[in-house]
Amino acid sequence: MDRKLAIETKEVMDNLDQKNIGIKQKEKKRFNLRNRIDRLSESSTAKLYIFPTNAVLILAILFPLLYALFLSLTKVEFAQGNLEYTFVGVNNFLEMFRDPRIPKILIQTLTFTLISVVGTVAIGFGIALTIHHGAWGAGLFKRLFLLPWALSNVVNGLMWQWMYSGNNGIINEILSKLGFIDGYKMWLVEEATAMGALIFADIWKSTPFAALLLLAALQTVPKDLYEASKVDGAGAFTQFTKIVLPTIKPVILVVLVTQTMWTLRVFDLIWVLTQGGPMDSTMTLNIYAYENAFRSFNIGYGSALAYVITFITLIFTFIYIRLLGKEN
Amino acid sequence: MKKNGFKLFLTVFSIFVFLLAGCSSSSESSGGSEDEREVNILYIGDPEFWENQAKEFEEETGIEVNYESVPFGQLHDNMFTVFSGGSSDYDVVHVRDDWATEFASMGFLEPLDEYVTEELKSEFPESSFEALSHDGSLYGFPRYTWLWQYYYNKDVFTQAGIENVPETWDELVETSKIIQEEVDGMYGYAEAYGQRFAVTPFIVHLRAEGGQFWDYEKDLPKFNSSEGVNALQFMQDMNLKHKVLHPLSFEFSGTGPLAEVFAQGQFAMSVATPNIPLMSNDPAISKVTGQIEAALIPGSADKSAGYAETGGMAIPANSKNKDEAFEFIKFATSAEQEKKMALETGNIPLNLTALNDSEVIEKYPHFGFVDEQLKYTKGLFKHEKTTEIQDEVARFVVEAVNGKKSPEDALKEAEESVLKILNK
Amino acid sequence: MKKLITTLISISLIIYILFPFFWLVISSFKVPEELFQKPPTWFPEKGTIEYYVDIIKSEDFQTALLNSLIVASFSTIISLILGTIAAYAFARLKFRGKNMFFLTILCTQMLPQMALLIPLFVLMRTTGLLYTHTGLIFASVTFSLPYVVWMFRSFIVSVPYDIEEAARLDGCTKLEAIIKMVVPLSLPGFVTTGIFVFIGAWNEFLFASIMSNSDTKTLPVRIAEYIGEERVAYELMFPTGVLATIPVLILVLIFQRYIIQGLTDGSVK
Repeated sequence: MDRKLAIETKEVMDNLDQKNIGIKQKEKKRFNLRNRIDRLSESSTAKLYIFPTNAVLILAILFPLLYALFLSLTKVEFAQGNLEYTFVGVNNFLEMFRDPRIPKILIQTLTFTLISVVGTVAIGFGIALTIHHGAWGAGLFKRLFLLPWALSNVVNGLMWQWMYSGNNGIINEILSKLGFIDGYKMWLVEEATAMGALIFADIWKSTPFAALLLLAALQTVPKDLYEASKVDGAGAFTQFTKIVLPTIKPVILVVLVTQTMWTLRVFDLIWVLTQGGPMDSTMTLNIYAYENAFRSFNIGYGSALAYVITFITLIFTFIYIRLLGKEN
Repeated sequence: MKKNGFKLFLTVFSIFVFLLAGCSSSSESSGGSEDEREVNILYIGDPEFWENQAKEFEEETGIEVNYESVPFGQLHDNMFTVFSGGSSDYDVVHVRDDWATEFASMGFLEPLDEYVTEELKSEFPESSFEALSHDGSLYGFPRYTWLWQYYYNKDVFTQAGIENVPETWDELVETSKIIQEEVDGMYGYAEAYGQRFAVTPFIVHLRAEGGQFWDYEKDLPKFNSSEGVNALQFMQDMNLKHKVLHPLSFEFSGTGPLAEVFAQGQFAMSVATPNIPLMSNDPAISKVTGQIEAALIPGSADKSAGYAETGGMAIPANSKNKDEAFEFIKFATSAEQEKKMALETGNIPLNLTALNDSEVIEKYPHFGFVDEQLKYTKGLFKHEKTTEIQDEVARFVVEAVNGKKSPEDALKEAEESVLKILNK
Repeated sequence: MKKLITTLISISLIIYILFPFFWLVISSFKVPEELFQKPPTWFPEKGTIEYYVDIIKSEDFQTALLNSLIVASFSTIISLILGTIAAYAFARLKFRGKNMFFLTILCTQMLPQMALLIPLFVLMRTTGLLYTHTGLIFASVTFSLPYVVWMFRSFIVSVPYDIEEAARLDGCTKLEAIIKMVVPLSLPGFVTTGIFVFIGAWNEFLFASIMSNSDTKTLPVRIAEYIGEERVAYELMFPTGVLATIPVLILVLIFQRYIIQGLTDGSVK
């Protein structure tokens, strides 16, 4: 990755060119794809590169996306085993304003998302820094921190349900033995604790991914920057805020956006643990959308809610981009 | 080595791989060739009995059976997705009372009246056909009943010096209090008040008070009545006033989790599904094997109140093998197969011959009460929007039982909510 | 003093991350009777591996394992090939509507899964890919591709363009510059992205449950079947859950060293 390699490359090229002298000039030009593609304008090259991806995306995602959009603008009814679509325009979206459950659900969705994302990034940073700076246990941690991510959603949900059980959950056992609580609590059934329990579990599941990206990013910070700042008398904290953070801003952006996207779409965990209860205290937009589509058979309304989630995600994305000031 | 050459190779390789993967896996079954008859069944895989039964059918009749199993929790949503997607993949599916109504009203199921002969009908109780009908036509063929009964731990009764099994709900509360005094750490009673399930015990209490959940003629909710308020008030009192309700009740999302804890001997009585005897008599998980007995569900205004889910089989309207499908249904509901089902899975068979078979009764003594209980039993709440309505009412029931709302308010608001659903 | 704090933080984080998994493994060796014991036992008193053995021997599990392997592997390979090429284009090349297009790709991932359930099911039906491996792979690829483009692009961006320019000045063609310069440097990002796609495909549940049948069922769907009509078969579910995680773990352990030790000195010069 430096001059040496470049020089070697040049030697190889020269050898190849030597061999090509024997071939007629015309043929050489025609068959030398390498040069051909090289000469193409940047634009065409780009199109060549992204064509296959485009094809797949357009076919497989754009179609369902538009179909789902169409659904959100209709009222779907079932008659004689066929679906009947009645176009209702933005009625489904207006319905949200009339739905008395929406305000609480909206607030909860935002609470869950914000706390979860912040917690995930914070703990992710903690893990990344611990490993990067080689704190006690970093060697062990390095190999095992991805475990929560590796676990399937279904098993994850049931595992946490098992741990939170009011009957024989291990969390209850530990907390009561340590004296933090008096008797076993039913974490997932009481309004005051259900949301907190969910967030705790969600952070656990999400943080390895954040940690992974942040760790990879931390390792791209050039060492000499650290050295230089030390010479200038900077302490660890200053180094972190003035050197590390700005350098890895692009990755932080990626982490924030993806975490927000995923947290807004969390389904399995909430569905298994609380199903949106107790009394809507853990009901998020996504669960509500699913409920409407698959349990109340209001496919139109459910799809509309799903699109609202998309808009919210977009809004968050723009906010992040503004805050972190990086170009697209 | 040129990158474009490599890229070309990769592209070709990927396409090749795609094709290979596509060919190697099984493709969806089409209508079947002219000579080979086949039937595609959708149900659960656990216990193994169901799948084995399907294999037996294949051996006996030569009709090829393709058995698909999905997790039970996904069954309803899967069927809905599959039907909405216009699929004709399945010939026999499982339905309960409410699913039959839901799916039939959407035109997804085939009416079975033509297939069912009088002779066939006579082998089952009339009410079981009613349960699986909608708008005058039969859409599901009954197979078993998931009947709610009253279960109690007789060892605990002896310990607490109780000689008489309670016959009314008030007596039950008294019994509970005695038990809780006499036996350390034992709760008297529990029910399943999970977030989406709570409406079911409410219906039991409502019926015990002589009330009704739904007015089927006017298609309006009927639970917001004096009987309803009495029932809900009683439930709330059991929890807050008499304190005989086990606190874990709110964690029980269904009767399964309830039965698990019952099998640990944490409370003495419950009104629930056959899950209870099934799990309590399973030595692998139970601490109370052999201690559980059944009796008639206590009554209040009526001598007893009942609740039963009828499980049956239906044929999707798009099925391409309807005749074969019904042959399977006939096979599975024959006396012999029903008896096997009872013995192996513990489900209460609806085939009357099987139900009264001596071997079956010997293994499941609590079946002895089934006949009488069925007299007081009405089926599941059936409606096109059954899931939505039940989900909605359940929320309010939970709020009332743990004291966040008064029974009057809870029922009033529930009714308003349901009326809104109906107008949608 | 500082060392003490960092050590404490490290220990707490380790406990937070590892404990639930530790509990899962412990529970997977318990018999049902002990699973329900209150209070719970810390170590199995009647530990058994009979459930593990039963599961490993069962055909259902083996089929599901194979299916998961097929779907996840092919999804990963295909997504990586298509996605990284496209990512390079977005990172380096200029063309009309680039930003708009990029944003659209990202937006496709913001829609919740349930909205796509029925449309995708219909799509699979009409193309005859329903219940096939190809169908599952295809669905997986469509979810992973945007991420690959998005993630990998930022890794390429962090490799300075000067390196490629330097190589070109020395006589490489554009493509050779890419292969020889960019690829080695972005390899850790490539590996990270690859692992990400694999894990996503391996653990995907909702679509797999709708679009697979007994022959093509993947592990998550198989595990969900333990949630029976009556009870949750914890004694089977926990061991299966642990077993399902092992292939992923092996993969992660192999490649983790790669990522972390891949970039040692600031080779980005």
